[in-house]
Amino acid sequence: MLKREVVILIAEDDDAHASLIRRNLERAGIVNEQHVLSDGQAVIDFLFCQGEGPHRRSGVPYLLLLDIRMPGVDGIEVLRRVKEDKELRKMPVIMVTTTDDPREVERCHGLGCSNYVTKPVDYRQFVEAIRRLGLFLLVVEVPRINGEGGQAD
Amino acid sequence: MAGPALRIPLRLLLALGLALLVLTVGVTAWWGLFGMRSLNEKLALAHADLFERARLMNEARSALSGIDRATLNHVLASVRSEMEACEVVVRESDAVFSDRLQRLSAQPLTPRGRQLLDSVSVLAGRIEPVRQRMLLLSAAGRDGEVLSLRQQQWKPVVEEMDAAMAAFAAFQDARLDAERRDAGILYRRSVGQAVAAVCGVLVLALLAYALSTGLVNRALRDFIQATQEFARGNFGHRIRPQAGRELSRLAGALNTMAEERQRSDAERERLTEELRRKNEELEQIVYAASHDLRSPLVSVEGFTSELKTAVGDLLSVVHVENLPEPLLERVSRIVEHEIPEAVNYIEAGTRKMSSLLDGLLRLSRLGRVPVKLEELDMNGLVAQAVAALGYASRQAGATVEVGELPRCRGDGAMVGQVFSNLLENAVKYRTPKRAPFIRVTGRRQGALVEYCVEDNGVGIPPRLHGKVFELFHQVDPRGSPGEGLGLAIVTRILGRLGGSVRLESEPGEGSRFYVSLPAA
Repeated sequence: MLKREVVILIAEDDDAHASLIRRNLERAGIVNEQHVLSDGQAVIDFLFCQGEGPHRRSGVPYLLLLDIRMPGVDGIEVLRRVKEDKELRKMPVIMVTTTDDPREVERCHGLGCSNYVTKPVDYRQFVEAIRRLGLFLLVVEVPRINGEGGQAD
Repeated sequence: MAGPALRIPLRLLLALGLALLVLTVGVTAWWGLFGMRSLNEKLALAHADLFERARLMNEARSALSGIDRATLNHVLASVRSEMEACEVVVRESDAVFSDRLQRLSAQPLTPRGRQLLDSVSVLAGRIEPVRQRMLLLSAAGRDGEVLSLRQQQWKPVVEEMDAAMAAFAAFQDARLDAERRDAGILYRRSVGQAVAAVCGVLVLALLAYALSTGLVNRALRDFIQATQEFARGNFGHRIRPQAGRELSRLAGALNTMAEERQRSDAERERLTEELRRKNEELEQIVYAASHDLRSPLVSVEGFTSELKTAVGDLLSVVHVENLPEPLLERVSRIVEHEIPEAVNYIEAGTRKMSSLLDGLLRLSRLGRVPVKLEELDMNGLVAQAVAALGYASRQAGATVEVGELPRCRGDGAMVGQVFSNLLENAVKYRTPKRAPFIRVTGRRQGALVEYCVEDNGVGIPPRLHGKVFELFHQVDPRGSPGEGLGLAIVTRILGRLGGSVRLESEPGEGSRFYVSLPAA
């Protein structure tokens, strides 16, 4: 099981997609706290502790599921800014998108994303992708941000 | 461009030079032949005059000398008859003397000659009275007086006359010499002028020749350089202005050609750039649209799946609960039939939408995916495409016949796609009137191989023969599934592989799609 305290951030402007991702993560047995952020700006505000909305809690390890195509600040921009910050860069970022354009994938890996998942229209494939994501989350060591790094119970 | 002075045709220039040369040589020859002769004639005439004068004067001198001698003899003679003989000689000599002086006087003379002649005439008038006195004194026997008279009055006058006459003759001789000298100078000068003229014309002719050949050579060098520049693709090069009408016309024509080429190159570049931009724009639109459309599709399909799961759960609940029979039947019908049917339609719709978007994406990527050219075993490739047709063709009861296919050169995946699309269409557009029969054949045609996919389906009306290759065009959108992309993709692929596709079809009879590809 993924370490309980890891909070999964779902950056997704489409509520339906967010809901599907949540349902399928749960079906795959991942019961960590999930937090949906509806666009790129909301993710930036949350992570960099700015603006009106909720801010991240210090000392909590986060994992970000990031949609590329979002209105305003898009996923690529969020990824770039996260990887520029010396604290936030430790956070695993998994790109979740409909794009399977090799150039886009290349770009995200170049910017330092941890993994890249394509949203297939085929539901079974999608579930499989999420399940693999779940397995990935089970084995990855998620560092605390502004904390002591890798955490073991 | 050449100035007006340089516009004279080269041919005319050369002809003019040649005419000038011939004219000059001719004039010089005429001058030499006729001019010299007339000069000589004039000289000879002058000579004759001078000779004549000298001769007349010398004869006059002889006559004077005769008079002198006869007078002396007369004085010395002692016999009467002798005296008379002497007197005859004197009269004859005097006649000759007078005659010669008269004739000389009639001649055109220089002032110097005239002066000498006049002095001789004056002196001649003085000697006759002296002679008469000498004869009278002699007759009187006064010989001593005769001798002194002769010594003092006769002899000096006669000698003076003789000297004047000699001077006259000498003067004529001198003039003759002068004439001769002048003639010689004149002659030499004429010859010198003629030679100079000939040399001058020759130099001019040589200059004209050198100039014209120089111009032609320069022009040829310019043309060679220009053609080399053009061959290198430098159509900005221009030939400089040329002398001579033909050369400048040739230069003008070549320059115009280069200008035209430059203009058309620029235009082609502009159009190519515009096309590239439009294409990029279109691909961008297709790409963005297909991605944005895919997003809601993910939701629809995802939640349809959720719904199916939920219905499955509901079904197990229904069977576990002990519902009254009529209610159970109704719920069962809804859960087992009505909802699954709705879900099936939703799924079919999303599948079609998905394949449509896939097609669009494929089409937009076709322009970007690199082409991998190789020799293709078309028998294997088409067999694969036929096998992939599988279920659809079995369901339609179609017969597919594949002939021996020549090899070609292309990208395996792309060419496979072409034949899959054509075979799918052949099955899809079958007619219920007869069992579908599809035949694939191929034959070599020069540097190309032409394959034919033939069916006995519904066919395509002639007015739609161009339209079917367009994006999203379907002959009958209601009657058949598909996204209307198949032939657009075929056209696009063949365009990239240097091939082409054409169509022969009669409505109700069937269609033949001819695919041309470079031979292996």
